[in-house]
Amino acid sequence: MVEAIAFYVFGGLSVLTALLVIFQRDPVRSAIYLVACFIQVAALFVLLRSPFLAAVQVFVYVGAVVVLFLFVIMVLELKKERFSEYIHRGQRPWALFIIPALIGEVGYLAVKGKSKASLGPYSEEFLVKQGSTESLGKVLFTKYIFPFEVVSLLLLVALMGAIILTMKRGKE
Amino acid sequence: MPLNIHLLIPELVLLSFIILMVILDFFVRDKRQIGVVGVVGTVVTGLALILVPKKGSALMGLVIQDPAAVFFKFLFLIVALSILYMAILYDERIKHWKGEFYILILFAILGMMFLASAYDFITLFVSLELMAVSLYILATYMKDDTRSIEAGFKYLVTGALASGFLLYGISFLYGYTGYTGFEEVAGALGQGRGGFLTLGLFLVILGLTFKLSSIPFYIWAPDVYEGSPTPVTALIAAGSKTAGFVVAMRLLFTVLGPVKEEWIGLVVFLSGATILLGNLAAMPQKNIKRMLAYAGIGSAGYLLIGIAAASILGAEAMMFYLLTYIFAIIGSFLAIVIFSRVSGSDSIDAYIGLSRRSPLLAATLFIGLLSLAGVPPLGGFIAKFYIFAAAVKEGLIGLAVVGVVMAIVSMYYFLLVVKRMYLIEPEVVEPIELNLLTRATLYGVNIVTILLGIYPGPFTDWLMEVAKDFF
Repeated sequence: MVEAIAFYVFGGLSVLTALLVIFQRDPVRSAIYLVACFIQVAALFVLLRSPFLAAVQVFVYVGAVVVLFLFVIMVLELKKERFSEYIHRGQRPWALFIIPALIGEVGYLAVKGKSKASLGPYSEEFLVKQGSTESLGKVLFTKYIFPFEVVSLLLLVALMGAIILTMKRGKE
Repeated sequence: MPLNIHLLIPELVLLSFIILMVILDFFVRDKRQIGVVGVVGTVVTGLALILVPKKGSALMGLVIQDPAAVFFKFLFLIVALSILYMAILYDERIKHWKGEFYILILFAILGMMFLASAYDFITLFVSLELMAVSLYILATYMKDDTRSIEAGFKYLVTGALASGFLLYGISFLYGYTGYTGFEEVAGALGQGRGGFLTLGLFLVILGLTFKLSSIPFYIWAPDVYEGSPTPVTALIAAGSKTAGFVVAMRLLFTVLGPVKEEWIGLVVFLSGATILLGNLAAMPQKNIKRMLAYAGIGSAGYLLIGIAAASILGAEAMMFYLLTYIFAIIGSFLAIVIFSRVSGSDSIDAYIGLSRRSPLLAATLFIGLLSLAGVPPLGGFIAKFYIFAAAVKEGLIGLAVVGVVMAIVSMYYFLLVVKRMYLIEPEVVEPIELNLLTRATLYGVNIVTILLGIYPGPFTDWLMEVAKDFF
């Protein structure tokens, strides 16, 4: 019962804030409403017993992506009236086709219910018993330790790249 | 499953040398010495690769070691050696961050070596990105040259798009089978088919075409080849393409072999279209690096014939093709790097009368280009012969005919360069000086290319054994 109420509150708020994102004229406000929307979605993930996904949602989308948006908006100094210049008129007819298709898809999935893809070793009972965060952590630091370490090399290379491509000094 | 980390000792040796180079970079003034350390590291890695066991699976099945993987790792080390040597020759044209240039080259090679062993979609993707990110940075290295920035930007944007395709395809395959390991995926595929499987397959193949530089993700190649520093162009042409084909062979032959009929049509189409496009578009080119980019697209098409054949002979032909291709590319690009130091130009017209100025340089470019074209008695001819033989044996007659006709067409644009080098009188006649080491390297590369053409027996016999591992 409590869960159902929480679901409708978070779900309703996320739809409302998502609508506010597109109806705002000021891009900065749009971005802030986007943050609010993402946080509601993170709360929905908690309700679905995926705390890890919720944390990633907050870290990556709220913490990194939207902040990046805000930086771009501020660097470009977009004014309210100029914002619409960046929206292509040609997209509108396409949107009229795609939006009903997406709504139809969501409706189909809502009626049809569960998808029947195979889950491999990670069945539902297994995840409920172990908790998805714990299973993910275990598998990341045991079985997948090699790709995990390669990612650290990848980050080192990316770091070097950022310095090489942006710093002026380094003349020998 | 056992850890077997000793199978990865060569890669760990290379990684240690890379870290050593990063540290040495703080103390060394003449950055060419960093490149020399890299050469030593590559040689030591090669020795370790000789000693390491040639068969086995490591790190819970995420990584596999088989003769095919070892063969490709040796190819990557040969590429590493020659690219480092080119980079040392190219040193004076790099203005900033000279030391990191060598380090990033070896990081890209490390990613390629991991790719040759990847036996899990996660290992595969991570290694692919390690290679790709290093190459994005290397392509943009000449920050003062707008063409280099354009090259890096185009490479990054297309690469990101292609990675997206690949990852999306992998997610469908994972969703369909529930596993990311190649062995488990192959096992699960035997049990049934579905629409999402085909979708995932198509997306994975399309994502890989970026690395192969074939249709549809070939658009970046000419601009990136032209704008990047020449050693990087050679690295992309020889290394990145080979790495792409290792992945394609492992994925399509070993994992997706059971569902061959789902993807063979797509590969046949991509192959034919790529051969036509690459060879026809190469003809009007004025810049030699740009011409080699289109020739490389054509080569990707020929190699895709081997994939479409999907037989042991096809795999063997592809490996032999890649072997001759790498030596032809190394020879041609060594000549281009050395010549551009003197002339400062990469336009084909600058090569007029090169045979008078340096017979050895002209001969190297001559042998490299004709091997790419597939002229007997050079290695490239035998390679193309095997590719067509594999196609005919699997009943892909149409594809073989297109390939043969386009191989003859490709002579035209290669011979245009040859004509300028040998038949037209130059305005500048001062000879180009080559030191002893450079002469020895050029002779070595030429001898290998000729040897692969006149005495391919031992190589093809051995590769025939190696190719069996894929099936």
